[in-house]
Amino acid sequence: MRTALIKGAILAVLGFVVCCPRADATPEKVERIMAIGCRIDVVADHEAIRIEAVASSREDVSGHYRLDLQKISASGTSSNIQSGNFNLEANREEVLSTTFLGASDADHFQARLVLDSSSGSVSCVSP
Amino acid sequence: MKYLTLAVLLATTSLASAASNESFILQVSPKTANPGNTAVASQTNGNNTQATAQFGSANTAATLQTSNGNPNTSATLEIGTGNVSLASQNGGNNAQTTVQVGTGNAALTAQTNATADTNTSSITQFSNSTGNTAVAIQANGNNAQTTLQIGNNLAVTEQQSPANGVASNASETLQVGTNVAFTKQVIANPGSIGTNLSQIAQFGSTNIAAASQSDSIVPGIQPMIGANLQSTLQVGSGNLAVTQQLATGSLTNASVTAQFGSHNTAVTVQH
Repeated sequence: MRTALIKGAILAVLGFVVCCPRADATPEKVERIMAIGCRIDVVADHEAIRIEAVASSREDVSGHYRLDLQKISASGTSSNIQSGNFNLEANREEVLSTTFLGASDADHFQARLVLDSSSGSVSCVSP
Repeated sequence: MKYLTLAVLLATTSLASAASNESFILQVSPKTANPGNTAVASQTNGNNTQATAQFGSANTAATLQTSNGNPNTSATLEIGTGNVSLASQNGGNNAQTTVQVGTGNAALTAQTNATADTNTSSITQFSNSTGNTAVAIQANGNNAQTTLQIGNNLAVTEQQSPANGVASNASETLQVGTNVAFTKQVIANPGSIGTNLSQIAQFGSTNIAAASQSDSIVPGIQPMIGANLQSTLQVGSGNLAVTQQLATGSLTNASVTAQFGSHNTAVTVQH
């Protein structure tokens, strides 16, 4: 069980995290969007999984983030929404928010992170 | 007049029948006197009604009501510093309201029933700096609790429905300031269609909201059919929201957590 969970978590981080500019971005924005990036990390943590919203940028930037996480499984449904402002220093990563779910929910959630900043917008999902 | 005391009354009434017990206590003292108002009211075996109002500092109000199915009704208002309110209601359709304005407020409300009668409680506390504490314990009834706190707040709510009959738990906690809220709800009758409903809203910094909802497991009895419903809203920085929902059988777990600010952490565990 633990092995499967860890395997699933690694896959979530390495194989299924998708990062892309938002669909409404203009070509001019895309050039600037790439300065900012987002990632959703999913890591096994004892009897839980830790889901972190991570932002990075090649330049100093500020903006607003929102992490939406939906979980539907036999044990129930949960919706976690986390949002707020962020200030990123150039070439540094920052964990913007963290959500824990039970280990058995590793295969039953969907998460989407959106970053809106003066440099543009980016979003990523997991899985 | 250095000391002003309008009324100091110790009211104790006890009737064997279902007659009405009524009591009203008002105490007013200037804050410079710091006399420490104390009001104690004990009522048994009637339609119990009690009201206490205290103005000044170091106020203590204790209300004890016991009934055999008749209503227990109590309201307590304290304005000043170092207010303490204790309210115990047993055996009736229990209703209690506590309002405290000042610093260092503490309110404890305990309500119990033998059946699925109603336990209803409301605690409101306002403080501009230190320490509001509100504790509400409700057992063996249809339980409803509302807590409103402004200041540095701690709210504890524990509710348990009766082991027999159908009853639900409902709790609402609203806090503004630096907040900690604990809510625990248990449906004790595994054969009932009961609901645990809890809402926690916190505005401020370093908020902690912990909610635990569960049913009971009794060997040989079909698990309950109902729902654990939790919603948590936090606005500020450094928020922590913990939701634990435990269910057996056909019970539904549903949870919503919304956090607005920075460096927020949410923990949601459902079984």
